Amino acid sequence: MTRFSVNGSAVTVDADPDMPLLWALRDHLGLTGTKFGCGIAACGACTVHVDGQSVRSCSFSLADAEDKQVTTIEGLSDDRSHPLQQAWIAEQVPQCGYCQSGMIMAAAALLKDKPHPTDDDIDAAITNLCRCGTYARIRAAVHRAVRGA
Amino acid sequence: MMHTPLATKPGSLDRRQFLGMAGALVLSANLTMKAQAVSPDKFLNAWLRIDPDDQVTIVLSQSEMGQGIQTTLPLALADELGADWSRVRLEWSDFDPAYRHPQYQWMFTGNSESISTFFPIMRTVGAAAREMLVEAAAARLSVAAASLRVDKGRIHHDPTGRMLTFGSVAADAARLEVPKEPQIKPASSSDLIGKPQPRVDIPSKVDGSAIFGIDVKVPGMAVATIRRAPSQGGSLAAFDATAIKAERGVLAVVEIPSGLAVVANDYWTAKQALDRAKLSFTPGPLAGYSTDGQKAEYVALLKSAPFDTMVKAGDAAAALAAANDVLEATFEIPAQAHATMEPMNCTAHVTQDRCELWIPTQGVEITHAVARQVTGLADDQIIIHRTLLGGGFGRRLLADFAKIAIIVAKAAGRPVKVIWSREEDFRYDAYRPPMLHAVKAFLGNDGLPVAMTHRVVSPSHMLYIFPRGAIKAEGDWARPIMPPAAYDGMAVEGLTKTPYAIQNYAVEQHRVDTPLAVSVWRTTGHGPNNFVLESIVDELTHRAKDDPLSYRLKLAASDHRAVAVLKAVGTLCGWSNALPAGRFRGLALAKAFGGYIAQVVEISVKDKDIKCHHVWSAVDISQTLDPGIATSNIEGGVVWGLSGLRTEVTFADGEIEQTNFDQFDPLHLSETPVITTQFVESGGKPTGVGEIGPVPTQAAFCNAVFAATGERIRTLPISRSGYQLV
Repeated sequence: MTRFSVNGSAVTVDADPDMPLLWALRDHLGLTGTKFGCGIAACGACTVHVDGQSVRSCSFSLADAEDKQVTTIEGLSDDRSHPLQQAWIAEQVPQCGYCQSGMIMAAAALLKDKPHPTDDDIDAAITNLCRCGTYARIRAAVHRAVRGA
Repeated sequence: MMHTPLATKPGSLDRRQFLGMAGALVLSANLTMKAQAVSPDKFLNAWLRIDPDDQVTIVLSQSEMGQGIQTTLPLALADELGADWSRVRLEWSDFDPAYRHPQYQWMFTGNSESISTFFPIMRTVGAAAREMLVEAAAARLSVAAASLRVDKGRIHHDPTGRMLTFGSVAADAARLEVPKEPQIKPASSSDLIGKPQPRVDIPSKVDGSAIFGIDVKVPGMAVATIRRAPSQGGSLAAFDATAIKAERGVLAVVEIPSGLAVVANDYWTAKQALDRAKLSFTPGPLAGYSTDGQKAEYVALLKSAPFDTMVKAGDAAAALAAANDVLEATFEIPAQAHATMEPMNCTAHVTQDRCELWIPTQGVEITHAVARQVTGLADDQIIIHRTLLGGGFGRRLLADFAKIAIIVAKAAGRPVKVIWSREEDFRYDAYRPPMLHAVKAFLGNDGLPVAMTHRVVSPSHMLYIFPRGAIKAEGDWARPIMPPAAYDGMAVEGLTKTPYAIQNYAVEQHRVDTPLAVSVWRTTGHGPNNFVLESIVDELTHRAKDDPLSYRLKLAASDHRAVAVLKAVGTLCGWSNALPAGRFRGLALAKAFGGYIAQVVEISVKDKDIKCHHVWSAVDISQTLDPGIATSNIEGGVVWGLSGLRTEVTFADGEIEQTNFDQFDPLHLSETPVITTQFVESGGKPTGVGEIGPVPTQAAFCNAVFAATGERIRTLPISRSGYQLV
């Protein structure tokens, strides 16, 4: 049994402690907003926050989540009101959309750390993959979220 | 050719009525609607349902994989109908002959054909329905139809201030004759067409609520993953069944072609069981296959294989034989993986009399056909629920992943979601085939080419995706078949119809018989062939000591759409302006997927590191239905094109050497240039924008590299010339 908190609620997962947090979230807690892309922490589709830090949940064990505060895309806001979600809509960022939960979570962790990131900060922090090629709009949306427009 | 329309599916009256009419309405594809759906209380046909409570439902036949079709097509219908777009409900269709591409008689989403095919149908259906609703309202109000005005789902009689809603006259309208030639609004009178619209799918894609195939939940569902021979098509030799059973949470083990599926309570448990099962395999048809061997084979084929003539104008061979100073060059195009961000997956529930699938697919009809073959069930016992697609790029035109899910779910006797690992996704892709091109050309005294020949060594790109309904193919629909040669021009497309007037011109193709599974990949043949053609035109430009833009303007002078995009991109990027120190530009022009694009790439080079700073495109897709969505397609296309400069898949000893994103490395955000896009409206029937963006990117980039370094890159990826994209 692993106990931790997800999006502010206490949860208990009865699974192999070696199970990556990703699969506990998806298959045991039904939170499918966090995506499986590679399984080796290379693509970032599975990005969540653990105690406020950006983590690739496909390569972060359930055991390591014990007693931690996990935030997923579903917990970023209740109503798409997070400035990044608003900016993502305003810039019409997503295409297929599969990578976007991870992109937004990576961007959210960046903004906590650096509320006014430069392009270089964005380049360094958002290393997630998008095969549709939405990167230019992701950059624009991060800047828009900072502007609050 | 007409197939029998599907009959009733159990449990849904609406569905029965809907499908009963669908066969008739397929004729609307020819813009001559002969019949329509009549029901006691609703207006409905294959595309549209209007309920008495005013709910307007539009049916989506085309899959959403990021290209925005889920917004543009129904919006076109709603706009023509005069519905309130903000209240329209959207519904994915199942397979039905009504949704076939009228020319190919095949239901699919791909080849950038959704807009060119279905936009006119959406407008016609919307206009016909509007006229019928107005006629019904006119009768109800005892006024002339011409005195009525339609706005947002309401029909107004302004002189008397009376109003009827669509829903209140829907049943009456459904009993009327369908107008043979409904009056379609001019695009200029539309509030919605031609202006950027918010995509309907985007809100759900920023909060994690969008449902992709991998997110499907069905009551009683288990999760499975698979492990197959690392050499594609090999066989499972042995495995440790005890180790699998020992894993807590394992529910079933199912043998599948080339390997094993483990069904469990969750993905991780199934994966762990496979990791511990000591699977061993024997090699299959790819045994001994290697990229090195393939390259040598292609070179040999280029020298001695028979070639089919695909295009012949004048006598290029004679002209070349008589010429001095012939430019000869060969170009190598690597195999590519699709690597959609969402790995292949499908959820299936198979019982004695029913096969239900939840699937992210571009190929609804082939999925339906495969389900019919594997289960032996009838058309009306197969139900396909479509989800959003986490990327398509051609990969999801195939139904191999549906077939496996059906086999596993049938054996497990319960609904099963089969998720491929990323490694399985790479190993069992159907790759963009490697290609080899040889080009010869020479210039006349005016500096323009007198003759040019192309020899293309390539497998067919259509082995898995050729519409089999049209040729009544038998056998396993998940396996490749050779399409008839007359329809198999994809490997030379972009060379056969160019914007350039060259008096002596020939294109020849040798279709390689390869053991490698190969299929279409975003840009199909246009991408690789444009890289060749536009690299050669750049070489000729330098031989002629001309400017890349002015040279192309001369060479394409007789093609006004080509001239227009060339001039537009020249203005857009400031082609004639001096560049900052260290910056270099390349240009390429493409005529592809019914449209035109001219693109300029600006780079700088430091040692062997190439930084791409800016890409400008001028694009003519006849009529830009949604400039916002179209721009995002071009932006993403540019990234796709740049990614392809450095990705490739290679093989050794019959196995792929790249099985995850640590070895197959598409572009990242930090490497993405500024992208500026402009549309040129040439008028006429709108065409697709999903694939045209990346077509000229690789040539424009490599032409910029030549401008910077004097080195001509003719082999991709660029790492083979020692360069990297940073």
